[in-house]
Amino acid sequence: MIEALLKSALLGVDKDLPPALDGPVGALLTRVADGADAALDFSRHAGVLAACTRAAVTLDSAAVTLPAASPADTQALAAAHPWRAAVGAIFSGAAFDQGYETRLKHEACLRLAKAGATLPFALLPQALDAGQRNQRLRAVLLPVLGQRGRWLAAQNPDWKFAAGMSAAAQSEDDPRVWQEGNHLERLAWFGRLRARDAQAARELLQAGLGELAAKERGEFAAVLAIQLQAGDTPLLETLLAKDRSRDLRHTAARLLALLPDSAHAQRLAGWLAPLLSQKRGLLSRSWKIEAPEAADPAWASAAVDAARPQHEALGERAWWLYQLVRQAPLGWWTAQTGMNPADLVAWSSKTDWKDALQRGWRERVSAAEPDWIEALLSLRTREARASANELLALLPVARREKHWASSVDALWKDGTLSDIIAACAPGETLSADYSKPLFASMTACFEDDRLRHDYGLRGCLLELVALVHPAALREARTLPRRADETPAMAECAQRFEHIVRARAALHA
Amino acid sequence: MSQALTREQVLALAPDSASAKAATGLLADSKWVTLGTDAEAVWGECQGSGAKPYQAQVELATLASRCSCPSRKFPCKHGLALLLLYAQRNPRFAAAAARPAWVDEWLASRRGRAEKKEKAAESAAAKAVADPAATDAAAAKREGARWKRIESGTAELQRWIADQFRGGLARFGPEQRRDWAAMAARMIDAQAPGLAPRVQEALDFMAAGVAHYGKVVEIFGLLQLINEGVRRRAQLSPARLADLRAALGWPPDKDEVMAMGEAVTDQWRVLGQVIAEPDAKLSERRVWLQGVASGRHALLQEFAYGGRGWERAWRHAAHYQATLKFFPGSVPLRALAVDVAAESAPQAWRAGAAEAAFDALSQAYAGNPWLAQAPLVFDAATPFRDGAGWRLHTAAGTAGLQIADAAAWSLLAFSGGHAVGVMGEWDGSRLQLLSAWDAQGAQWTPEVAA
Repeated sequence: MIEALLKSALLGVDKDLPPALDGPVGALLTRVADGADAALDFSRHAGVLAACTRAAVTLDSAAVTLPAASPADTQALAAAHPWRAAVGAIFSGAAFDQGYETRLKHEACLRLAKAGATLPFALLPQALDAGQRNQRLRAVLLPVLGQRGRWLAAQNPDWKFAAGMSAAAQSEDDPRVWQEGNHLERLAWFGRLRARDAQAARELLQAGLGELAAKERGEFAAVLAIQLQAGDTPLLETLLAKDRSRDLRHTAARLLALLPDSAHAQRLAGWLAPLLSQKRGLLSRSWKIEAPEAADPAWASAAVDAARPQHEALGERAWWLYQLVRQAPLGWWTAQTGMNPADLVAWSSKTDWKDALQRGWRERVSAAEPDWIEALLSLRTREARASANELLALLPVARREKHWASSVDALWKDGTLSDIIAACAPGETLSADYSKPLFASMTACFEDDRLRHDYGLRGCLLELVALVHPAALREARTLPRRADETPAMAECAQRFEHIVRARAALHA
Repeated sequence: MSQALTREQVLALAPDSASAKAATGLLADSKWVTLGTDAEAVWGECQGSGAKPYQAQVELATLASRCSCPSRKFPCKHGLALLLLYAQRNPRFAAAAARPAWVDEWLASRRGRAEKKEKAAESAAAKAVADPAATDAAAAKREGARWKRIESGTAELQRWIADQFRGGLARFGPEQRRDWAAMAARMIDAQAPGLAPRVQEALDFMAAGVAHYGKVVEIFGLLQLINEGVRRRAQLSPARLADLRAALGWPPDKDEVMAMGEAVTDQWRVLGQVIAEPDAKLSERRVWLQGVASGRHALLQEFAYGGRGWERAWRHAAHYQATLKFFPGSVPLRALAVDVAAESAPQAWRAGAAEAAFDALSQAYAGNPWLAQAPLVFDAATPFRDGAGWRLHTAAGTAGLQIADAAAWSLLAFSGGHAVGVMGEWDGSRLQLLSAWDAQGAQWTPEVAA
């Protein structure tokens, strides 16, 4: 009704009144107008119509298509469940997650999944937001979203990672992922296929190579490391010889080197063997390594560059040696020399070519060779220390801990505290035996003045308490607090206790 | 009730989830210099960042709280933490010494206020009985003076609105913006403070663009009805006159309502509540109730200036035995609560159907077009999102929702595409949801403390 007045109201009311209405409202409108002032009559008009509008609450009666309702969901964590408060506290955190907040979410998801429960409805929006920001969280989040969570995700384009297709992709092995998924989803799916049926995966990759960008080709080819077998040789030989991407040729070369019957592996051994020789000493024999004297033109087809890059720290011959070493399987060295990894690493330090050898080995070593990792970790050179984190991350947790001091003070002093944090993936915890003394030294930090000025240590403590073994938390007592604590210290203590409480509840 | 106080009940008192979270961080024993309780109250001194600890106290019967911290939230994190410790049966409460003086003072001042209120109501009633002529004469003189100012103010507003229409809203520019703001301020001077926000709202709609000019015409129309009402006030019925005074921002004194207001005693269910902060110093809380036996809706509207807290806490979805005294009017909704008993056992309660609820809403606005808000409660509505934003599908049609995205997503997570019961506030054209519940009785409110 008001709309009829809008034109006049906009342009200005002069003499003419808006069109008359029928019925009682029309009669009333006629009665309230006294004709003395057109604008005043107009505003009375507006008053009558406004009152009528308010008294006729109208709803949109057009048919609407509602989304299908979410199926019944009985697994959601009950309001009275002892974990409810902890899970709530973990998921209602700040919009921008600190490292430990992601860790806690990760842990909560794993615990819920283990108990066969899903997230309470009220926490789903925050959980989906967290998954949207953090790709790594998604894999553990998806199983605990439940029917309601997947339904909700389908309502918001921002959460499509958790809706329908994508959710199915990560919870099962739906072949549609290969056609419709995004790159990361396809990569994860391809990895699972490779583990299940190596040949099918190889054939799929071979057929799809033409459609992939160079970077993607490289990442898919690297997946062939899972269940690497002789049957992969022809494909890898083709890639090594013909692919335009240097990275991919390198990946193919490294994989071929692991297949002893491949032409490439034999060629590589043929290049390396003459460089390693045994010399007879007075009492024993010892091994001697030499770098190539000159570049071999055949290297060009083996992903070995004859030209040394401009800013390369290694000299030209060392550069050549290093490139051969980083391709050769580590097993070749133990087989050739009869030495174990520790002896080999110790021996390499005494040679003229230690930098080239050690750098090559560090790049070659894999999680399947823990003895090599530990041998390389024992090195104290600058280069070795710089890559220690990557090496440590390859070790199982229990073997990593042997390389760390077990008190916060010692760790902080030698700078390994942040290494420990960096080396533990979300969902991993330190061992119970290592955690116990560590946790005790952490709580002791609150007693003295160390936290007052040390912003970094405060942050590290929070990260650390999120990854100590849950058994250590059982001995948690109220933190000793200083009467003269600063607000930052108080906040740190508060968060520390908050994390301890939440984790202890989840593992009670 | 104090014995049965649970962690969930305490957290439900939190004004927002940030306060609840902050409170859980204050549960360390070492934070509290003292803790104590007796039959009436619970108190404690919490070490903050300053030298002097904050003194937090809560009256157990009403859960009204007070704290010496500068927070404007009620209860603040200290009050909440104190109640959480109490709910946890912290042993330090048992060992506490006698009630300190600062708690005594506060309880006494609360009692004093209550007594003063009662006395004032009594004396108003007594005066009216003892010497009706003299009281009436003095009151009538004051009233007469105020009406005179309002009359001249509204006459000016009437001419001004006509001038805006004469000139056309399309002319609106920076000069008009100043002029309109001045007019809003002018209504305060004219002792009609209820009109200022209406003019301001029209100004806000103008600023929002030409699509909203229809709302401006509507607001001006309703203002014009007020102006006419003031001019013809002698002919109005008592109820209509009360509507007019409420719209002018001149409701009857609370004492008067206590003494003369219509009284309804019932089990009152808390349907929903909202805290608005119209400006930096002022908080407004609206608590909506419904009588289990009478079916009456009621609004407890309370304002808090600066550091003062609310008279008492009303827990969502709880029932309280109480007598309400209603403010007069054609559609009496606003009320004051007296004789509130402790929270009682949950009662069977059912909301009606959507059609009936929207009919009742239309009736309410037919009775009083100036109602600032009216409650809307019904049993089945499906919230959903479409291109136009957040909407609510009901058997009576589809309504748009005034809702922040975060709250809307939590509502959607709660409902899962199923119909849920809802309670909201209708402001004449828009619906703001204050609560929802599902078939199992689970509750949703816009800010759910997690």
